[in-house]
Amino acid sequence: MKAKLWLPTTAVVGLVLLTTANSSADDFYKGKTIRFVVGLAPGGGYDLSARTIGRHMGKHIPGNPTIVVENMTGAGSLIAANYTYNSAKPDGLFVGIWNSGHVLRQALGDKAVRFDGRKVGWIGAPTKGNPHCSIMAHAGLKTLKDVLATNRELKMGSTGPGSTYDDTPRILNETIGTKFKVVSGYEGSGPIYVAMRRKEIDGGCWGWESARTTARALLDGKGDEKLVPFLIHRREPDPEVKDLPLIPEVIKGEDKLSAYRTWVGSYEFQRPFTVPPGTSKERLQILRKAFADTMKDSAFIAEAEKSKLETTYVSGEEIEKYVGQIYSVTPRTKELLSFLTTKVKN
Amino acid sequence: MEYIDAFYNALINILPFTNQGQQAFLFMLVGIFIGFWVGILPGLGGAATLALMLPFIYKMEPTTAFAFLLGSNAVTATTGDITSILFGVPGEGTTASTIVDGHPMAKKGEAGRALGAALMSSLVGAIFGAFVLALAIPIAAPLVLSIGSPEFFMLAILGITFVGSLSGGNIVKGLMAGGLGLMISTIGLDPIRGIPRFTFEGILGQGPSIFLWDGIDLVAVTIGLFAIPEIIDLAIKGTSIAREKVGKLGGVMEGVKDTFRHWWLVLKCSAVGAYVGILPGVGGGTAQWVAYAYAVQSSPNKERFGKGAVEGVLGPGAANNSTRGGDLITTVAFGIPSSVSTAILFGAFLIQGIVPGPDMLNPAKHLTLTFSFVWIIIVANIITVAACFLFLNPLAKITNIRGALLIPFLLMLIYLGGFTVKNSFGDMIMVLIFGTLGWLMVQFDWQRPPLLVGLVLGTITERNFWISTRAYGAGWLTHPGVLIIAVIIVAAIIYSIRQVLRERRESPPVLPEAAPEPQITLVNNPVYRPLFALFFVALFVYVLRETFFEIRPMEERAALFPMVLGIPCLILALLAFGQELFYTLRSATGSANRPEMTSSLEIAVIRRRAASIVAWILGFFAGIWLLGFVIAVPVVSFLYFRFAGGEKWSISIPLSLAAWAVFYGLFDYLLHLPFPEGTLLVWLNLVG
Repeated sequence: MKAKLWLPTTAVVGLVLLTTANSSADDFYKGKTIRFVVGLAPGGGYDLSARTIGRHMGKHIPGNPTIVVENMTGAGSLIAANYTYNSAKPDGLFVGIWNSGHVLRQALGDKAVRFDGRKVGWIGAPTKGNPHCSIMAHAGLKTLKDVLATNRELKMGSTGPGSTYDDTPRILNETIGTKFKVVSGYEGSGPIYVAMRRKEIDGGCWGWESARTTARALLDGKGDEKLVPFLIHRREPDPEVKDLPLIPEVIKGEDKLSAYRTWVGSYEFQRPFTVPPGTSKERLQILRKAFADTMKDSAFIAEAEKSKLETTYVSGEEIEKYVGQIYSVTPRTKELLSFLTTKVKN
Repeated sequence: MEYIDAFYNALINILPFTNQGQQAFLFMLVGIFIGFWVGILPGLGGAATLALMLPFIYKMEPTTAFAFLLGSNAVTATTGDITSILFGVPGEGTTASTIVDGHPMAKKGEAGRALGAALMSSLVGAIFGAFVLALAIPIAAPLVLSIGSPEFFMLAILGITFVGSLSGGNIVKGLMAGGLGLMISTIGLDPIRGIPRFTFEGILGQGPSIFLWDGIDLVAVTIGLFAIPEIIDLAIKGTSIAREKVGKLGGVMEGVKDTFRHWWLVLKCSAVGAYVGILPGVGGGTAQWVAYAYAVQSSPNKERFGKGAVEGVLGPGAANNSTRGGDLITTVAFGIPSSVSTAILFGAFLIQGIVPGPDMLNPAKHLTLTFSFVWIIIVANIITVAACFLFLNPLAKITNIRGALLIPFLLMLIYLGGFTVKNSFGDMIMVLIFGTLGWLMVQFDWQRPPLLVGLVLGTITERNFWISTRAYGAGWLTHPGVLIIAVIIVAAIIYSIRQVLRERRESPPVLPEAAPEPQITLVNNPVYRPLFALFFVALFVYVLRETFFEIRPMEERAALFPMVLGIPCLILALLAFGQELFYTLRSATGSANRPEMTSSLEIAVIRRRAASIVAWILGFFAGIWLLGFVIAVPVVSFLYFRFAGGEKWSISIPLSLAAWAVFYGLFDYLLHLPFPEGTLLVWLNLVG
């Protein structure tokens, strides 16, 4: 009996001694638990990337802390973003993961967004968004030229305000003179794809990183049922989009281009990992390094590839730069983009 | 021939007769085990669990992976019915409708029969849905594509009309409750331009107001509306859940026989479920109520419903299971997930390197796998139902346990169910708010199901109304599908009004619709009845004022739906007020034939018990807030057992420890739910 108890007792005492005696930065994370708090529901892309990264990041942090993933859903992750900024403890054990679009909305003066993107601690982001537009073959148009030349009003499906589906066609209408009519209210990408096949709408604009897998059946479709991409933000090697015109290249005029750049800045770092303001530089640095190492980890890469999780590593320093770009908004661009913010009376 | 081969091989692949089949079978059992508990526990949803299971499939081969995931997903709707029936607490969001008649059956001592009926009809529904999946895949495309947004909108209106006639005797109150449900669905950011509507920012401040942006969650409303009144009732009665003992007639086999007695109803409701499942974006949450409404519609004596009619269990029981098969069709055939669960399953396809779509139907590619889905749904449900039948009689006995021993567990379940909606306290408060509303509605004979149906269909209605108008202008009104559904709607309204008139002529309704026996009425002063109706009048006046002066100036489009809705709601509320006033005046002059509430309990005793249970419900909430879940659950349970229940120490202590063990072990240790620390502990700096 005594012999049996001896071993665990020493182990526990040893652990306690270790954690108390050696509380240098390197060992801070030993035996601790880091909470990854995801602003959106389980099952979506945010949740998937947080959980996949959460399974691998622990081993890259000195002291190998446990990582648990939680969901704090609400208002398109705004609740989690506000919580990260205002309520979470800046002890390096809380990581908030939420939509980078809130930074843009804050910069445009949306009162519901209660944080300052310039003070958030940015660990890094696992992916970039790449807005693109596609149109169904049944519309009879194939290229951006056709789309600009047609007299028809093209109906573009959207899930609702604040989504790529909603913002992109509106911005294109403002900047390059397309005549898209946004049909808003679909429950998600699935219903939009069905509506495209049903010819209720002609097309839509959303992230290519998502379209290339979730709309695969339509992209490989035949005849009228084929989905044809015609415009994209950034060059991609996929055969469907590799020769498409790029949005920044077709926008003419400094004001318009700068409005577009402000908007798209939040797409340059998607699903960012953040710590509350006031978290020590030292710990932020540890997390940044661990995040970068995870992105290079072959086990992580293999898992991400298997679940078709698009990964493009964006470092915390780069994010700070993009955030600066978003906040450098001028009154003129603010006006051009004013339709993006939620109207909250205040 | 190769189809038949594939169909046969698909079955062999998941049965434990080959090496590979053994593995699939084993993991299916694990999946079923998980799904079993997820279904039973109100706090855990099927889709969220599926997301947590996803990482485990990386190293599995496809059949095993889907046996594991689908095995779990296929049984939650089956076992969720069990909690709904026994406790009046919805086990899953998709099993709320089995409460309406299933729980009154339990109170009548027919828990066994209700469980037998729910499980058997679930099995039939699951098998039906699975075969629809097998047969409909080739014709899925035209089926889905025939329903555009305009038709969708009309179908939603049809659903609400069905429920309007659900109200039977009191059509005004029923319709107004439905309208109230629709109205509640407009709380939050509007789906078109993102304008906050009815978020009470001026009153609540910005934090709680942002919580309301997402709208009111169905699970919290359902728990509040149904579970809280049942708990209060249970505490006041001071008995067990079952108030009467019924001999063999209340048994499980009787319920099984009921399934076959109402064979056509079960099949038709299965078909309803499968069809609703195919529609993108709609699932079991809607299918169950449409099936319930259908069960009521097709019955010759509607007044039995809500008081423990077995058909009210059979219909939804079958429908919420058959949706699972229909739900998979669009995912498999088009690669388009139509619900949250199938979106997660879509992720599983990607992990397995399979592209859903035409390949799934190609015998040379994945046809065998597709057929194995069919068999997994069938086999998983057969195993679950068989396993449940072993425990059903003991499970039904729970309804004979003293209420005092159950109440702390029930309170734990409802608060947990509310908390896990968004892992926040907000929905626990919603449970309390809708609990109050639900209790008042029971007191004054207002029907609760239409409110839930309105809430379920509200967003769909508004979204599709907008999409239709935006995509087709006014032209959608003349689509053939729209016209056909419009004719059905008009016919349904005329039919139900005529039926009400006929019933009124033949026999005046005597009993209120709420419970199997007259619920104990606390407020038997008739003055309160019109007052409660007046509350709705005031509410809708407020809604219209807010819509007109606050929302409309911000965005015309966001104001339209609440405006169009608010006016008929206000009219209905005024009508209901008139009705109640008339009723009160008549009973004051003594000419009303209001049934005497025969109750053996003294009114003073009732008042005291009611005050006590309300204090305990609020106290439990306060306990959770101050001490955190993990401490509050055993502490408040113990206090309740010892002081409210008057139980012996030897019962109170082990039971509260058991409550703690279940709670801590399952939700904290195993599932890592992010329970906030108790506020008191934070103030005292006891936690870091």
